[in-house]
Amino acid sequence: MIYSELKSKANREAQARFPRALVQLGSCTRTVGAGAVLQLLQAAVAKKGLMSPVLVAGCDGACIDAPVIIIEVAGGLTFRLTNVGPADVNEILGFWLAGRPDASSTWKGDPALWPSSGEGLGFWSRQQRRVMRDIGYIDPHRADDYIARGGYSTLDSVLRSMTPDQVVDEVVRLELRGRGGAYFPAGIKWRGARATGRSPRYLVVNAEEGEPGIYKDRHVMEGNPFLLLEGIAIAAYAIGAEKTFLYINGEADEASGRVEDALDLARDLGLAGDNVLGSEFNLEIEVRRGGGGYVLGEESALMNSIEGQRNVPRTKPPFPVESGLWGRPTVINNVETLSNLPMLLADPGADPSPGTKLISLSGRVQRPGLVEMPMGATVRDIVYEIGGGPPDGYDVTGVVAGGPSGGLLNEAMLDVAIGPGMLDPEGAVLGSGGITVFDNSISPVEVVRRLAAYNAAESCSKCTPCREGTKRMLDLLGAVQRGEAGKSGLEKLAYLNDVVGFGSLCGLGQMAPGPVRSGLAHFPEAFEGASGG
Amino acid sequence: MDRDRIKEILGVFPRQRTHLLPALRAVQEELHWIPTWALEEIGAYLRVPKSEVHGVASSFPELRLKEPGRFVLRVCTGLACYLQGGARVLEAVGKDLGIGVGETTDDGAITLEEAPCLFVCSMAPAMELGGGPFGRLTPEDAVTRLQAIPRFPPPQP
Repeated sequence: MIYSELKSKANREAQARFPRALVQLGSCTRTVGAGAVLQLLQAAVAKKGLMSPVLVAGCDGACIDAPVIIIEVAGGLTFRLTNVGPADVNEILGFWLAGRPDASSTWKGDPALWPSSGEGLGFWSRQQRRVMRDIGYIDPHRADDYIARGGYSTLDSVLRSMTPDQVVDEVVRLELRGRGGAYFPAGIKWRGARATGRSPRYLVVNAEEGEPGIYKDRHVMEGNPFLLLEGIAIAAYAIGAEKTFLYINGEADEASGRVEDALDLARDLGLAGDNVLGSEFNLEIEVRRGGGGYVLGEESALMNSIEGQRNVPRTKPPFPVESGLWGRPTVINNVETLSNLPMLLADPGADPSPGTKLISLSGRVQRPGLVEMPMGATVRDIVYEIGGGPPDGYDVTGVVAGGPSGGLLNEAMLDVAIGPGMLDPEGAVLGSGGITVFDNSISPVEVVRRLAAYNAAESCSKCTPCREGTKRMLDLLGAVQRGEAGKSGLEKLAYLNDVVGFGSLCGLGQMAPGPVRSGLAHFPEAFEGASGG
Repeated sequence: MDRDRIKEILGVFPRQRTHLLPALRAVQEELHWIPTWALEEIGAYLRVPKSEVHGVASSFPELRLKEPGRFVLRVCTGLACYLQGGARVLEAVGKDLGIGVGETTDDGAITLEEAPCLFVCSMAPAMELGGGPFGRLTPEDAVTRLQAIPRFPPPQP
């Protein structure tokens, strides 16, 4: 189908669809009964013989409000009902059937009209929602929802008016940065793969997302898989990729199911497969699933697994753009990177590089969830404004930024602004965007030890510094906690940090010292007090 | 019987090494784990030495080379869950079941595992029981969820 037909069909659908309800069902909200709420509401609507659809949406990131139901009624009014339980279904039905509730309608004492200008909206106030814009408010199973909101207009105009090289040049110019954690300019990778002049070339989409504390790519895939598929199409066109491997974490069944459904639908609609949108461009995508392990997210280990090899990284160089899958030029981009692409090309001025970052906020805050922040926002904003600070009666003592490959920041350091790369030379990185807050309910030494234990367990054992070093670091941290390490133990720990960081083969080992080094630097009293002098 | 079923499952894959991980996953989906004889079948079909099939399979922690109980209980003690009480959840369910991490109840019903992250950190503390995810748990909630699992072997036909 050509784009104008798709668009007019989607617009007709958009006019005819009210009222409708969307139950925000994601891997997060399913843990607190959103699946049961969906079934009950669907059954109640069917029993009353209503034609209004009860649909599924992804979680909008305010996981703390889950289960959430979005109700759209005629006239463009949208209601957002939070913390819905099975017992609330009849009340919701009444609320919905009342037709057009007035703007002062409340739900459990909160303003339910959405978006609201009411108080208590700190979770939303500082966000800049671009990738997340439609997530939670569209049905990921219907391309119409996405297209009616402008989806696929960028791909259409790219295919009509730009050559692959022009797309590459534009993405280089706009400095789209990789959101997987390294912030390498995506366009430079693309150009590198094209410059080899060799084919076939491959695109690998890294949706492995196996870092503890991160759930951003799952939110995007569950909430708006077509956004990712449009981004993939643009990238594959620019690179001249013969084939794309969309590699999804082995346990992310919710995300994988929605992406595969969306891909089937995209093929039916001419948005994937041969002659995309009536052009000469063919888009072949194969979904692959992982088998677990932190190191699998490392791009060369991921490529090994596609080839049927062990889950261990390769030495670099050569880099994947020169010699990737089966030795062919291969571009590896993260889900969030490609999901930024359609909006970036459609309106380059609206979100100049480095753009926004999805942040998975967890730990000891009142409002954990997934937020999209402009680069330059401070960690303090994220912890206190967005997250609402620690539980009552506790004090934040620090955060872990970048998970087991990142590091600790103490409370006094939270004014650091988020940006591509390091947040602190001792370890903390923005990385893939995980911020886990800790408070005075735990010793910083225990936080470090748990991260070190994770790294030691996840080391793939291919190289000696990582295999042996991460285990020795863990032993020494245990000695610190037992008061047996002494000054010489702390010195050995510092030395091991240098060896493991310098001598390890891949990022897992190279970054493994971050938590230890930053813990020693920013919580010296805790370590010295525990070490036994 | 099982062997024929596995041959049928493998038959959908082209006989190329790139399909090794997908084939391992497909077999595990059918049998809930991957016995040694199935590793051999996969190797023979995809023309990969069985030693390498084992090498690849053992490098992926989600692939089970040891038979688990009928239901797997995975309690998350990743940092976010640990901070919100995940270790207390693990302790409570272990005590209720009378088993430690990595062990299976005597009736073969439940295997207890400690998960490094279930990727629902905003819902901490979390666990997964027979594939069903639960969040914002207290130790008491978690123990209550165990009651949904039939604790005796199903009657033999």
